[in-house]
Amino acid sequence: MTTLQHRRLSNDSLNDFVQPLDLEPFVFSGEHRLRIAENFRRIPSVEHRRLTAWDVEVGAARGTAFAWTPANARRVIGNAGLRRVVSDRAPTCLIGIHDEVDELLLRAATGYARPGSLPHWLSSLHHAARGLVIAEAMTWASVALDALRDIAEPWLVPETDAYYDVAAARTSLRGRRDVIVASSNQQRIVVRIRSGLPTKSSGTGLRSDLAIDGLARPDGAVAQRIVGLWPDAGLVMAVDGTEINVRAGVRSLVRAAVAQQRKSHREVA
Amino acid sequence: MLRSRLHDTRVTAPRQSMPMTMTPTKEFPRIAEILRGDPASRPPSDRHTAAGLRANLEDALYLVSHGRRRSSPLLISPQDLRATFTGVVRQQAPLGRLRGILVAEILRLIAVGFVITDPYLDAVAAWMSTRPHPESKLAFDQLEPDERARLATDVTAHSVVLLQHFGHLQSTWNPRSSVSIIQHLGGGDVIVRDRIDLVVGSSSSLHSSVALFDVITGPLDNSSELVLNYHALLETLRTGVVPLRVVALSTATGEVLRHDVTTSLLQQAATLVSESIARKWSKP
Repeated sequence: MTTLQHRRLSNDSLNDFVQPLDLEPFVFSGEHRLRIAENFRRIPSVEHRRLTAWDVEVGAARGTAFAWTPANARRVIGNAGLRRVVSDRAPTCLIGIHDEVDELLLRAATGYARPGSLPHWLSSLHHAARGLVIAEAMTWASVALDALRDIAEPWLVPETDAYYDVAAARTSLRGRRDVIVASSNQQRIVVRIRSGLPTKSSGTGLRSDLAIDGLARPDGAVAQRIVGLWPDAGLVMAVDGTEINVRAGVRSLVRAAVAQQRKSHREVA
Repeated sequence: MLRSRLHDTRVTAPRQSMPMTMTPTKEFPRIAEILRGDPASRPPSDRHTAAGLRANLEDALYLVSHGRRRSSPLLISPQDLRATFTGVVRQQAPLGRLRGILVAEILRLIAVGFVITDPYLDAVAAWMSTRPHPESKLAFDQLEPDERARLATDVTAHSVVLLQHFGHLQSTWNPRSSVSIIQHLGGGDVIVRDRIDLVVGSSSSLHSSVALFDVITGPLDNSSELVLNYHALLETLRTGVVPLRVVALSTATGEVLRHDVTTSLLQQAATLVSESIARKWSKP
């Protein structure tokens, strides 16, 4: 049976959830990877398929095409600002975020940003709209820092999300991760920060992120636990890296691919 | 030679002017200073009251629901609190609503140290980048030129008051703007929502340091106070820590409303939320 722990967000509850566990986490073997690839290959797709935990949570009900807004740019820029603070490259989140925005703008100015990318979009904005991007990122980083400040274990903000390309299945999986708590025995706990309220499918989404995080690693070792943090709601949920949870996560991803395929068939029809 | 020329050019002859008292312009209370207060006098963080408040709300909800579940959740927002107080749900005029939205954008910008050059244009550019709510966007697009000019003047005037009163916010206070709060009650039967214009301070510090700020483009009234108390209640439920104080500024009058958050203030807010739930629960 899959497990999902659920508590009110406080410094104590978060600290409890990120303590190292007496748990041998699941490891993806080569055989596991082959079977996963076979499952995805059975679901044909004309275009390259990109799946995230969000697709798992909303099923086929995904809305309009992606377009940058200050609200959806805040995670990338806010996390980058937070990373600078954690690594002592910036004294405050705001300075870290300003530095990050400057770096992104420099990338756009020197021609290293492709159309549609974050630097390209940022460079096209009115300066006040760019100010709002900074305000959004600042809110994201401050809320995260406030929640994570008192974690007893060492933690870091990863440079990128977890990506896994399923072999010969025209499918990429993206696992979101905002913070990695690396405990003393070198085991990892992944933390995701989410907006709004958790829904009935949030646990399923966490399991999918947990599975992708393991698949993205060359050794296939899954994190001991994934913790979902909903600061707006003051809630925290956790899923342990057991085999049952990881298998459930992979199954949800395959189901999401099926749902996407059916949706595209309906649209064509 | 130089002395005589100076003498010639003076309007008032030497020793003819009377002693004069210089009166500096009226000092406004700076919001940043009010939010911060005196760090030495901050009380220890209260991490115990939240559980009691939640229990009170759950008990009050049970008295209304008698354990019956709803097919769709009941939504409670600050507007419902105002309606509990005044007896009617007040609908804001489109121009007033747009003014409020745009001034809130200005607050978000100045909270991160953005230098405002043209309040109206900056606010509109910032707002448009957020993909605004279609209803508000339509109201903005349908404004007549004279209405738009009035909106621009209004936003500029209110922004000037805000800028005069706000002061400088240290980035170490971690300002969070337009902070959304959503709380479930009764296993999800009731969803209590809120959005606070600005939050500063940390809920993880040993001493209470979180301050909540709202900018109001109308005059302050009793309902403004209720909404501030509601903000304090929801922040307490969200973080489990009682905030230090709540502050509101009316950009229409320049008045500032400030309350240090106490248990009785939070209980009043919880009672009002319970009343709002009871009033809305019985409606089909």
